[in-house]
Amino acid sequence: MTALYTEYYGMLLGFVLRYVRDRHRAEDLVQETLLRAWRHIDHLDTDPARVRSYLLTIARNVVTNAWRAEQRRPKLVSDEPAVDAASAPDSVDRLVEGWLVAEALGRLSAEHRAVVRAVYYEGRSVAEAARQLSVPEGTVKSRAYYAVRALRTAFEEMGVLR
Amino acid sequence: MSHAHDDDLRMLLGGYLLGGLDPADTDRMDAHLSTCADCRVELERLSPVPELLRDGAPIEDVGPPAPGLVEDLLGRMRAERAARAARQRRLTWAAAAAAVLVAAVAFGAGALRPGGGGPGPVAQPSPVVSQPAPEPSGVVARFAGAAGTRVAGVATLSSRTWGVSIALDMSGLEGEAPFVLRVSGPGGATEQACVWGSTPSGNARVTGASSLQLPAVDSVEVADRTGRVLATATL
Repeated sequence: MTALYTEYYGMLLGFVLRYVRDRHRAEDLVQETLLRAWRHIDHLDTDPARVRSYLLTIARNVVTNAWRAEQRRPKLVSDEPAVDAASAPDSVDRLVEGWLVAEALGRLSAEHRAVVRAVYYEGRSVAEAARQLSVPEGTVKSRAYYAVRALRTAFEEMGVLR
Repeated sequence: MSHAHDDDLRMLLGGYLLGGLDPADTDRMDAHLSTCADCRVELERLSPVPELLRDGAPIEDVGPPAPGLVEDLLGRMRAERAARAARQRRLTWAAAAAAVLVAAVAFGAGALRPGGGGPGPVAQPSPVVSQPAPEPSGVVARFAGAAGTRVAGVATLSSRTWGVSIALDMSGLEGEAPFVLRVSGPGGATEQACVWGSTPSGNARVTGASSLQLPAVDSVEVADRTGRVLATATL
């Protein structure tokens, strides 16, 4: 744990601070990330690149959950330096993004769209979404997965993602 | 350590990305991701999706409208249909009046000729000409309040060279001020004729103006700040 802490703390804090302005809050989220990673440390690879990627994977999830809890949306970006440039989109960008997202969501089936809305935009848990949509929890999980995959494909086809 | 792929776990990637997994599933996924490179790659590949969804959050569909709004819409549709029918009637009357006029002129001319003999002055069919609906001080239209409101009142429309002057006498106004008076004419042309604020009594006497000519006015309506139509009067 100490090794994880000293080696990756700064990198993780830097990552989380992209999304969380408040430093204390960001530090809490880094702690949570490290704690979650530590629970599975036995299985963890010794390859530093893979440790880093694993930690960032968890950190992303931690940030997503924190933001959803605040009824806000997480700004999740790939761990690439290029994204730093895209921090303050102007209103035209936002408008275009709105169209692109509407278009991508429009390509989903109504069932998949309903799951994205409930779980992501409305911040519901899988269990709550299952009750709201009157389907088993397993169905919400699989629809969430296929919806994200379909969205990825839609964004690719629209030239937004490669 | 087996890396045999577990579809059940892979399904959790969606919830892991969008959020909403319970702590037990989150922990299973954390554990799985520490050993499964395939899933880590897949997660990496899908991770821009939540970001894009956030930046382009769509306008939310907040469900069906309140029952009152449906009534309101139906009321407006009925009013519009009534206005169209009224215009139709006006046209019919105008045609009839024109026919009467033509008949009268023909009759007058025919009656004169035998008596006068020569190219005497043509009789002025003045009594008939002055006939078409003299609009004295103005046209009065009564407002029908939208369903669920107690808005009532009358609009008095007077013809002017520049258009039409509209005097309102309203009661029971409710909703978000400022209120606006809109005048609708042919082909859906609409002009805002005046804007006013709320009064403690809900009564208001205001006068507005529009460039539409009086005969072209189909209806006038009063709406609140949000665009909700409170009352409509068709001419």
